[in-house]
Amino acid sequence: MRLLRPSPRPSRVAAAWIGFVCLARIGAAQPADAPSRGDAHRLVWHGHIEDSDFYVTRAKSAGDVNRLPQPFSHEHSIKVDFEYVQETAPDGSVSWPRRRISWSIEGTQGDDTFTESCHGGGSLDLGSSRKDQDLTAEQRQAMQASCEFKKLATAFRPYGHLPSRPPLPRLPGLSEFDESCAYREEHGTERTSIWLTPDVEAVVEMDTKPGTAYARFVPEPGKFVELTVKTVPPFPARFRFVIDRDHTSAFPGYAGNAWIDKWFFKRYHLEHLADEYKDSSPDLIFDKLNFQGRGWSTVTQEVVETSEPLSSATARVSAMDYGAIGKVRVYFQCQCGARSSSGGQTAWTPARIVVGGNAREAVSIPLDEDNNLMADALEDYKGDPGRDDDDTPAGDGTRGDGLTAFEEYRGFLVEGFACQDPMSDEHIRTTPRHKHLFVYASAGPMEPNDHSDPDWTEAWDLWNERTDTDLEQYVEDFFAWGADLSVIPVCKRHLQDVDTVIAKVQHWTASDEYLPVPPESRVVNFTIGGRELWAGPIQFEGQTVHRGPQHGVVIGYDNLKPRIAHGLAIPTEPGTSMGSPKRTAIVLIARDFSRSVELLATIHEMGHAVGIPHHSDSRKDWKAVAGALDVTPGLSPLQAAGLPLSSQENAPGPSEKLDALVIEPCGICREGDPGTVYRKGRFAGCRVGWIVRRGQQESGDTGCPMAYFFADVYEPPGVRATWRWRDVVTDAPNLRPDPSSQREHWWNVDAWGGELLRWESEFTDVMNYQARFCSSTAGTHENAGTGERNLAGDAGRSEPCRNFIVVNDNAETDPK
Amino acid sequence: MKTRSLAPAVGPGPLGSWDDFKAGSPVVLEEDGGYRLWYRGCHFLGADYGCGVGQATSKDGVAWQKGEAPVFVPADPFEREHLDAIAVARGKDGYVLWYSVSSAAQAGRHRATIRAARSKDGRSWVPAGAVVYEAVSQGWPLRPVALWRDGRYHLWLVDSRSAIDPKTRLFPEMPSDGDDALLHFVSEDGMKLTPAGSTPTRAVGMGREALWVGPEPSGGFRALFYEQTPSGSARPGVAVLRSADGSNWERAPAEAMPLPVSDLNHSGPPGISLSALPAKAGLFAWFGVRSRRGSEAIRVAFRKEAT
Repeated sequence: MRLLRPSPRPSRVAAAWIGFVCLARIGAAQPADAPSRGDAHRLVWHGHIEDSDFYVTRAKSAGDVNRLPQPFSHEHSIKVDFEYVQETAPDGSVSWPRRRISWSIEGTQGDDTFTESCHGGGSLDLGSSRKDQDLTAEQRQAMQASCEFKKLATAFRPYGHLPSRPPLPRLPGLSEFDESCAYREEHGTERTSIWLTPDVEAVVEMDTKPGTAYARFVPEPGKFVELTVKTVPPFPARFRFVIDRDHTSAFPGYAGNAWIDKWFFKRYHLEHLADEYKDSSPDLIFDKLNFQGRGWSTVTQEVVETSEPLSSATARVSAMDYGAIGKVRVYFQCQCGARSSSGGQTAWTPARIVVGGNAREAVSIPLDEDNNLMADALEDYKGDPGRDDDDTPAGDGTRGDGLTAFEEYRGFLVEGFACQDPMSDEHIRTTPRHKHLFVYASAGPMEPNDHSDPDWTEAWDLWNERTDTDLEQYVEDFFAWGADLSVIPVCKRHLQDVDTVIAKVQHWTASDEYLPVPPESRVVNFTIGGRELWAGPIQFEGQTVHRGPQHGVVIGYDNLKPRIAHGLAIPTEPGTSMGSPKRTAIVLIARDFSRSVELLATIHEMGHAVGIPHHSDSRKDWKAVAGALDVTPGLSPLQAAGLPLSSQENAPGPSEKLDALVIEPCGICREGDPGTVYRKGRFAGCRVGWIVRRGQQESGDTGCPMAYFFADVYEPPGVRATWRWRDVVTDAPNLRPDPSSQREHWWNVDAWGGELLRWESEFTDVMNYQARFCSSTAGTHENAGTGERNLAGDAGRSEPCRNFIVVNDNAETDPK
Repeated sequence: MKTRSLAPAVGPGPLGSWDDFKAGSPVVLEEDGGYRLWYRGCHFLGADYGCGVGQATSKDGVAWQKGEAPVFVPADPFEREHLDAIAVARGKDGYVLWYSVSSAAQAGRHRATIRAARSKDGRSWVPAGAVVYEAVSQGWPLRPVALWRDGRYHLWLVDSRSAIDPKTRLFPEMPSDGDDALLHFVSEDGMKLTPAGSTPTRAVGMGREALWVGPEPSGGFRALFYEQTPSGSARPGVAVLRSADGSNWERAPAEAMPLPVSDLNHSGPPGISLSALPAKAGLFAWFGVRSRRGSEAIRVAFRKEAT
């Protein structure tokens, strides 16, 4: 670290030299209103010092040799900028009327015996003085970094200390300057550059009053903000505008679910950038279309420079991402003297930035005075960009929808007029207060395109993107209303890798418990981490912008496989996985039922996709926990043996699957009634398919889409169906079962007894009554009837459906 | 070293040009009866600092004609700012450029890396993309040197052999001959390096100096490096190593070439890079030297040797 040391030359001699070399030349080009203070000459010394070092070596032994196994690491980074104004009076005396310095200093070092860290930074107006190096004790103290030394062991190892103060400017003698009034040096890890300019400053003033273009600016690809810089007082200078890459976003893609592709350039009329703008490019650029003509000498996406000295210049900064956020720095360059024959020039000096009357180091685009990476123009997006605390609907208490406020601000491309036409895609910013769910409703043929067949052209790809308008309506209008979620229809391209899901589901059968799709498939916020799809969190400027992948839901008609149910929400994992959308590989809805049934099945299965179990079941540790459940031929052996329904044990007998259930003779089953069966020639009861039990699938709010409506026979209040026997029955007393014949007249059955009753369901058209997920477990309609006219009673669990809804795929990592 | 001729060969460009502060890390190849030089050039003014690779040509090895623009500039700003040293070799399908990028903990890059680029003509370079080599030691520079021989590339660099164990977070016990070694790699394409062998640097009395390696007509290799502060009573100059296979090196003290630092007009800190080529009746050597202010220039020396 360099310490303050005296200038090698007397300052009076130096001043005379400056006056001759620089000011005399400046005077020739000086306009009438250039700075003039009597006959005094003013010159500005600008400087930049940078020193950074890093190494890891072996810790020192007692003999001061680096040979121990413990590592010793050292790291420091120092930056200093200064601006000293030198005034030479007519009598040749020199003073320093203005001195400013800013610095940052960071350092850490240590081994297993100690750690030391230093941190500091700031800026000081050093005021005027007779000598450039004069500092008060207070000023020296202010530059002292805050250092902490921790002793971890008693051993002492001789290391040097970290730099705890920035190196102070050492102004070289003028003979050390080159003909362009610049001085540069590098010693070890430290670089210093000093250059001289006339006493002129450049200023960029950004008006932030409501209604001004800057205050209203919200980034969209192709939209721009204008920055104007002026020299004060007016003086010829060249200007340079720089996108500060270190503080400017370069989020891959241009929205949460849209990569830079040919449609991007077409949609935003940016075709002229198609060969040069990439996913990795900065989100703010200088669009060359805005810098045509002779006024600009250097034009790149990151830097533009004016070609000739002017007293002002205006540059347009274009956004290329809906979440673009960054800093633009502006510099000016006055010739120290007349331009030298070698074209020499001074270094670029930062312009003074004033934003809404306040000094800033750079211009933030968009205006972001609260430094939350989001445009101040949008009131919805105040506060922490990394928060994900959408609180409606409350659901299971998990806040958020898996999207940070920044991701909701950056927004998503969604289906426009038609998915076959990418140009019709629309961009939306979603509110960070309400939970959203993205749904792709495939119209089929649900055939993936692996592009191995040349006949699958892009047009075919796009045709394959089309969505099913019925399913979309069911989901967007009815499911969304029922769940109080904001459901956003998207195209296949708006979710990650839907093709793989569709490819895999072609081979799925009803005997498969789940569909193992890649975890990255179906993700909607897939661009921000790049092609690698980071798990998160991802930060920018020290603030979280992404917490993890959030999945949408893929839904389609099951038109390729035998009908197995009204609908299915196929989980991604074995077991009874249930929770946020990442746990549902795909929702399949059976065709050929009535629209009402399709609608209800859609809402019901979508309910599963957001974590809602049946009224009989609850959910724990992201798995559905089954209740007692209605008695069905499939479950009867377990229910008969009293085994839990999740049991992996084989229930005792039968060797074959049961064909049906029988209820023993009772008030609703007399010989001759529908379904009459015989066992060994004697009347044994009536064949049924389903016994509704109290508090199970049909229970609770009958208007809730999660309630079943398969009423056949049921347990009235106070009655409990009990298993009686298992045998073969026939539909005629004198018929003998013939294993070689089809089971049209004999069946393997379980018989259940009890005073069961028959129920005639009054299923109404849900298109009219618009089901909402229940907010109470209490029975309604037929489940609220009095006496024995009560079908299934209250739901058999403690929470209603609305209290299970969860959209946030980060629910496990983000506590409620 | 008997200096017959010593003159500035390539210096920094005018202020504002891409190499206005440094021209160093020379690599010279003999071509078409003349010489081609690749060098690292750096621009420095104000807060702007960035480097690239430039090229110059010469008929006699002494007077050089620089190209106006760099022939290669890394696309990544970090790499531009931390471009450290280069190596160039001509293979059967063209040229390969290796360039080292120094570390910077503040940028999260804790180890120096070597990257590569290809060229058909030595002027138009295409980056290879992936990192060719990542240093074992953290925070220390890499200075590669390379050549093509026997149908494959040979690349040498000095690095630590003692990586920190990620589980214990400790270095291994230090080998009796030190951590650092002169590592020898071979490669068919210049991109995928296969370790061929190594020699502990302590065994040959060198540190982390920049090295030049050349093939010997009779087989084997000769390496040169500049010792600014040699041990014992030896004088500053060019030290010589020899190896039959490129992996096992021995010092050849009798071949050392004394050359005072003052003869090189070197006034900066230690760290002289060099390239050399046998010439008629002697040896040409080009040195990358530093001024007191840290700027760099390339100077040329000639050692007359008995034929």
